[in-house]
Amino acid sequence: MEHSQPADPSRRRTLNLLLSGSLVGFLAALVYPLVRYLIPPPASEVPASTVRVAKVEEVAPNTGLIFRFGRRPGLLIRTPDGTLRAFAATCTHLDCTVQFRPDLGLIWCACHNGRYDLTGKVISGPPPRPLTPFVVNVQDGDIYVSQGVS
Amino acid sequence: MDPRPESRSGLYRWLNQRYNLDAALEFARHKKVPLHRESVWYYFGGVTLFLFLIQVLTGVLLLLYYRPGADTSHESLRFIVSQVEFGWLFRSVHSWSANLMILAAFIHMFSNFFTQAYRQPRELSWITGMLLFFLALGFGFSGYLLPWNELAFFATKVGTDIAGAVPLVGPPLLIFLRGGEDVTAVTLSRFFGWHVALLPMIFTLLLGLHLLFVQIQGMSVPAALPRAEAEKRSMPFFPSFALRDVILWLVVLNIVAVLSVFFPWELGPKADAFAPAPAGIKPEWYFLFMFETLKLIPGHVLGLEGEILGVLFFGVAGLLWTLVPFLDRHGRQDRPNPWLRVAGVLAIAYIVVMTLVGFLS
Amino acid sequence: MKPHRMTIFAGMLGAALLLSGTPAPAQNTCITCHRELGGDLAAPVTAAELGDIHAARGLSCADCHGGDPTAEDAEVSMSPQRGFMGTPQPQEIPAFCGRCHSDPRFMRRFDPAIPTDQVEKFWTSHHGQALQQGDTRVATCVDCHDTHAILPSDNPKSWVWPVNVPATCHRCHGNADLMSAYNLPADVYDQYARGVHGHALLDENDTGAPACNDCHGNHSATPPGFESVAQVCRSCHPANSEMFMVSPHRPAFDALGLPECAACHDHHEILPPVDAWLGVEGEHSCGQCHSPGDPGYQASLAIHGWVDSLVTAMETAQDLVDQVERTGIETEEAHEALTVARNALLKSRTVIHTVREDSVEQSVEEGLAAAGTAFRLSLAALEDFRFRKFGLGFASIFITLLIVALWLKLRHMEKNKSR
Repeated sequence: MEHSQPADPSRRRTLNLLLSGSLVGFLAALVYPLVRYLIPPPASEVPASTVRVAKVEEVAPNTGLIFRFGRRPGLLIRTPDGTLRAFAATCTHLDCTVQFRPDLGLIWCACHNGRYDLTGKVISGPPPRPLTPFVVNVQDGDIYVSQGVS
Repeated sequence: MDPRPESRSGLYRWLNQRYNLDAALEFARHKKVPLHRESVWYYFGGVTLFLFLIQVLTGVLLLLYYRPGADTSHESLRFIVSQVEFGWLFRSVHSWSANLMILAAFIHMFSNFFTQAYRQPRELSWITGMLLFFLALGFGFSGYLLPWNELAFFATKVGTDIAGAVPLVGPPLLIFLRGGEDVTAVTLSRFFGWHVALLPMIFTLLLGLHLLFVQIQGMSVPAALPRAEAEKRSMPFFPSFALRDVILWLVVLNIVAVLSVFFPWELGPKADAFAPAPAGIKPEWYFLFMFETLKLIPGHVLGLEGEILGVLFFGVAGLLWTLVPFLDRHGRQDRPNPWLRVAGVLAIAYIVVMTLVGFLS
Repeated sequence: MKPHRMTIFAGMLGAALLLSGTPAPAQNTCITCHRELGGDLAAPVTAAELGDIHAARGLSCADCHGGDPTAEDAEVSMSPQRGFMGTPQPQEIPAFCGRCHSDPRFMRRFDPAIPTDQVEKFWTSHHGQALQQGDTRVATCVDCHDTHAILPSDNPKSWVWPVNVPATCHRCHGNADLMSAYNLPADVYDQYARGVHGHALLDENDTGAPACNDCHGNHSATPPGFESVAQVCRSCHPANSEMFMVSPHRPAFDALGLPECAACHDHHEILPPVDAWLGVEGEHSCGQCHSPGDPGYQASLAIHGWVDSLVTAMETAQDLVDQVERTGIETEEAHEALTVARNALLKSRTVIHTVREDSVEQSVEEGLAAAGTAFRLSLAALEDFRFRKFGLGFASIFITLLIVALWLKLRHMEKNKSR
């Protein structure tokens, strides 16, 4: 076994300093993101496929409510007899946002006078297809809307 | 590294008495790596290994927040990349490093093929390596679906369809892969299970064997090099080769980091089973050459369905490739094999051309 | 045996055989003869075979034209005694079709929902009134519905399928010679095709877009009077019309004899409106009527300013969102905010029909708030990207240093070893 003697001890010290210094920096760059990642963010995750829209008592019969459903708007309606229904609020004609018209008792698109009945079917106007229905569930007085599993 | 045993710490002595560490160190000290003009290829196994280690680490991290399920996969991943601090980083590193790992594995495999490293006595190194390669492709295929986005959903549909075209075992295989007739949430569950439990377990076992074989037998010297010249020069495994390995790993790590910052892996729109298939459904690049081939084969060839023919062709080619240590007669006598060399060049040319065709079409 | 009985039996048998031997429906001599005659005389037969609705429902030539399709002799089959009517004159056509189509009791056997007021409406149309005065160049039933290859209106190949209606009207209304006699332009089709409605219907195949008949009526085709244009437009543009109806423009336009919506939007060549119309310069703009100093001029400048401010804010935000997009950072929320802003812009461009500055301002403010949100989110994302690059730089420096250090160390060790 050869026993090595560095030619220049100061050079060796500099080298070791460089080595340990850069190692510390490198480890810091590794550990910092790791630790930050491990801390759970304050906003807990809400699955976008189910949305809590409102309390039941906040939605009177014969009214409608636009809510955010992921990237697009949704429409929750309560029919005069108290049934809750929800649809994608995008008109099937040219993607305008539809609204509930209590005076007409139907769902209406202001852009080209498209009319849908309270089950989302087209009554008149240019819309080519019915509105996409969502599933409505009520739990402890809260109304939840989720994408239908048809 | 001080070789004198008396200078070792108490812990070392304690362990040494029980596990004979001296022998292991002695082994490491004498381990040598042949030095010749093809030595550079020796590094790619290490790079593949390093990228696999990154996969394990980032995979475990992603598991902290990822929740498999048709209603949660895409949502939780969106949560990871937008809400969790540095979530985007670990997600992108996982995706990028996965792709680079397959690339490194390709290079590692082909370099060993051309240098005939598989020849006696390293047949089992080659076989375990090929099995690891197939498992890596399995990792890629199963992991691709986990974000539950549109592209992955349809690519998985197409991919499993192709598996379903295999004669006889195809239809039951398709049901097994998908967990039913169609790609559904059930498919997602099983792909998740395979990706994080089954495949890692088998992979780790095989990897252990693969590395053990290399330790026992050392590096192979290419058959094409003159014996005398090739065996004359070598470098010690430690520190020369090992430190070069580490340096290369650091370079690779930096490349992965740059890619992840400037090209974060896209999440894409959520999969919708009822949406029409978007245009340009393509599998991951490492499946592209097979995918393109299947597209180009005419519907019926010699009374056989084109797709079945393609699947059979790749099946047989893969099998022959895996069994190459037993097919290469020249290699057994440490002689280069011009036929296999041509076959290898043709295979690479084919893969490159078809992959390019797939990218451009 | 008594021969008497045998004779009766044989007679009955013979009668039965004779009856059953008769070909069930006698062959239609109209069809067989006209097919043989060829040329124009065979045209009705070949046309009807293309899928005529009457033929498909079991009606035959004689059901409209009278005559006896069982008679072999043309003199007999086409004799007035057998009810033959031949080809009706143009003036006779509405009544000819109306024999069935104006009879609800008859029509409901085929379709209980089919309207039966077409002929009645037709006589109220410009076509019908001119016809009544003996002008036979105008359109009657067959000019739009074809004569012998009549398809139901819900068949996409029919001349009256929405997408085909403009071309059907164009056959006459594009004829310059014919139209000059009525002082009508012959380029209506081209104007329509250049407009938004023509583009939607003819190019996009959007059957929800109006064809000629949706504004002019189909059987009662008449141009809407200038004071009822808004009523016509409102059937599809309710919000815009409602706002116009309560705006100060309504009484002013009517008093000036301006055709309501068409005063700004034109009628056939309805171009996609642009915000510049809200300004005071150029065609379609408020400046056509308003001049500096009057309140309308001031309002126009203000409203234009509000809408423009929203457009500019959205463009700025969109630019920033695009920048974020290129970095690959998630921009979902900014996109959502931009969608809200887009809806507000759409609403503002509708609210301008009230010509009230405060209403426009209110709806523009909604959009400005959303565009601001998109802007802020994008700025934060870009800030995040800078942080990412900084972090990468930090890590890269130390990785590079470590590589250099390791390399020097390795060289050092190798040198010592070899010594």
